[in-house]
Amino acid sequence: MTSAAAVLVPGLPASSETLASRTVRLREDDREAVLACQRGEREAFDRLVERYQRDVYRLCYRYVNNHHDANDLAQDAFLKAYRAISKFRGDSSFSTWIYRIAVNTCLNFRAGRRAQVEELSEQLADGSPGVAARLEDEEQSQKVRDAVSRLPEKQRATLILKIYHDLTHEEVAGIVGASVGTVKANLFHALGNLRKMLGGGAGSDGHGKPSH
Amino acid sequence: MANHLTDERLIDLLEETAGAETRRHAEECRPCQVRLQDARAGLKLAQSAEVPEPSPLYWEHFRRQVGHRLEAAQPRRWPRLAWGGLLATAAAALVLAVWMPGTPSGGRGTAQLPAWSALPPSDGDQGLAILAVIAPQASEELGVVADCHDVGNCLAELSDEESQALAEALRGQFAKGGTS
Repeated sequence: MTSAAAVLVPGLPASSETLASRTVRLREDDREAVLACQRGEREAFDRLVERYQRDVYRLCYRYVNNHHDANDLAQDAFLKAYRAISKFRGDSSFSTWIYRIAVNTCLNFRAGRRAQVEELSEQLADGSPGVAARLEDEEQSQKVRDAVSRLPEKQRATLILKIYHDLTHEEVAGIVGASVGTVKANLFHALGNLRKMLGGGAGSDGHGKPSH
Repeated sequence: MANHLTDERLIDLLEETAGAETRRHAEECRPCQVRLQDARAGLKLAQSAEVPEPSPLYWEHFRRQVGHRLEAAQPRRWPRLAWGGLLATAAAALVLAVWMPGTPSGGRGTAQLPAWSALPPSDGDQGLAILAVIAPQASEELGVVADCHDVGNCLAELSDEESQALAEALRGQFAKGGTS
């Protein structure tokens, strides 16, 4: 599991420094980099890209389930962030802001390719015995990623941000534009739907459809 | 048991942030236990799915790609000093070309540069007209003044090759002014 807060600033030692102090330092560094970007220093944005590229790429990958599109979408997200950085006022952390841009970029992309995504999901759900024999773990991961990609939009965004990026409920609420209560409800339904689609829990049939 | 736990409270239980009353209810209520168990199973499944990690070299490649796309998306800008210097050079070349001793005056011969009255009417920045006069090669062949409405913007948009050509054209004009 990755965490935006837990990502170390390149060049800083992974010492006994606590996660909390690292997070504070990271946010300070982000703020300085953002201000430098706003003064027109391109190198400062390169530092932000270096710091967040993994998280943004992984977030995009969770949405599209393939490297090629995740690569393009993550780049698009950084480009959009760069163009809009003069408007970034620091009301949220930079990480929350870039995640919001990435989520919107992925949603727009998926909206344009919905039919294709669903077709892919059906193929993956069928599975291949040959591949399953050789790559059992990867197949399981793939199935879960596929199931995540079939969740309803808000449930998927909530699950990805909360479980894979370790954001707080408040941060997720800010990104998806919902209340904390709604975020928790969406998360609960997302987890229940995953269990229904993949099995592995009480009363599972492994063939459930996601409920909204 | 009435008043089962809400989805929100069940998430609190899952995250171990629930209050004592919620925990007590969950211990005693079978339907809530089942729902919590399902959520736990879903969480376990979700956590089992890793994103394949690209090669370590990929991240360097990613940064470069972002850098190139940012570069391509940005209008080219010259440092203030560079285009300020070019403007100064252009102005100096113009003055020298017109006033240099030995330069044919407006009263005799064919002037190298047309009189100001002969310049085509300019709708925009007069600096463009001056540029077209003192560096016709640059303006015609390189399209320096094409699509420009302001000499400052025009110069700021020049590529290295174009600026080199403009500098050569200005030097050429300077040489003509000095020898004719």
